[in-house]
Amino acid sequence: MKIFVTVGTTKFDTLIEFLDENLNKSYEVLFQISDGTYIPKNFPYIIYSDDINTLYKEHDYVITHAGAGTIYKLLDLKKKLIVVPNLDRIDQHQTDIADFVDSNGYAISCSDFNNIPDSLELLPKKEFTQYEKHMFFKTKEVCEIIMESLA
Amino acid sequence: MKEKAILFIYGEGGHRAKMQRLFNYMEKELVMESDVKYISIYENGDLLDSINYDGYEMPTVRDKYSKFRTLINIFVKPYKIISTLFKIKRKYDTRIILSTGPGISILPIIFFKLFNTKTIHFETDSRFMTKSLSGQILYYLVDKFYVPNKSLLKLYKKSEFSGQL
Repeated sequence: MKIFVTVGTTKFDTLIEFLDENLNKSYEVLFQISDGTYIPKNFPYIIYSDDINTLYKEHDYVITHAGAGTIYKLLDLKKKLIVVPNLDRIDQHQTDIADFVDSNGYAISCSDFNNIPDSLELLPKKEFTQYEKHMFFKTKEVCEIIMESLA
Repeated sequence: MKEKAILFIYGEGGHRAKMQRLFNYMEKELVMESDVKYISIYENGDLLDSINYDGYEMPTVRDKYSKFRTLINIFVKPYKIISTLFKIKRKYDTRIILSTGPGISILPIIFFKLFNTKTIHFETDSRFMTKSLSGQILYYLVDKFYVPNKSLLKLYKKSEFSGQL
């Protein structure tokens, strides 16, 4: 099982440390840790990638922080994912989108790290609802406002 | 005479990515006069790709991990932000601001509203049932407030649904 763990641009040391210590050592895991200070001991890691889409595609499953950009990209790619809201931040805003994807059946959300190992075992057989993005449709309107302001 | 300018304001990560997509969409639609300049206020070296424009990096006021450090920053960092805004004001005739947040947008929008600059904010994609801190403030300041998720229309009564960038 190839698993990619990503925290985006904000460190999430508690998640990385938990997974480094508790994930099954038979898994092939790669961590992306951003500016995190916890350095994984049991699995390889990267700080950041300029070609993260390739990493998403190369792995079977992704464990991700609940950043909107990352989640929508992964849902677009139809990846099976576990979303973990970053509660190390003082703003707790990631719980909103984590609840959204979980309650709509797009992904599994785990606020409690202890649930992640069992959730990973479920992923291969779990069926998810396919996410359909509401594409941005206001480009023309925004451009008209811009042109008016420049006149 | 000062150059007319469109000012893009965005934080790092998803906020920058969202602005990049908006810019890419707009680039195909906009027929721009050559005397219009694109300028940008951004955080942490995370500048938009592939446009030739003037960029102004801002210090991050809100600390993601510490309310105490955020409080200190509120008193220490606005000087640089405000001096940068005056620099932009002296150099450009800023006609419109496009913002994807987060808090980096608040002071510049307040500042340029004093000079009748048009303002548009695109609320973050990560909200469904709650308001973002910057959204709560910017909603009352900007001329147009777009939301990416229909559930937010209940929270922001005068907003418009735009779909997701």
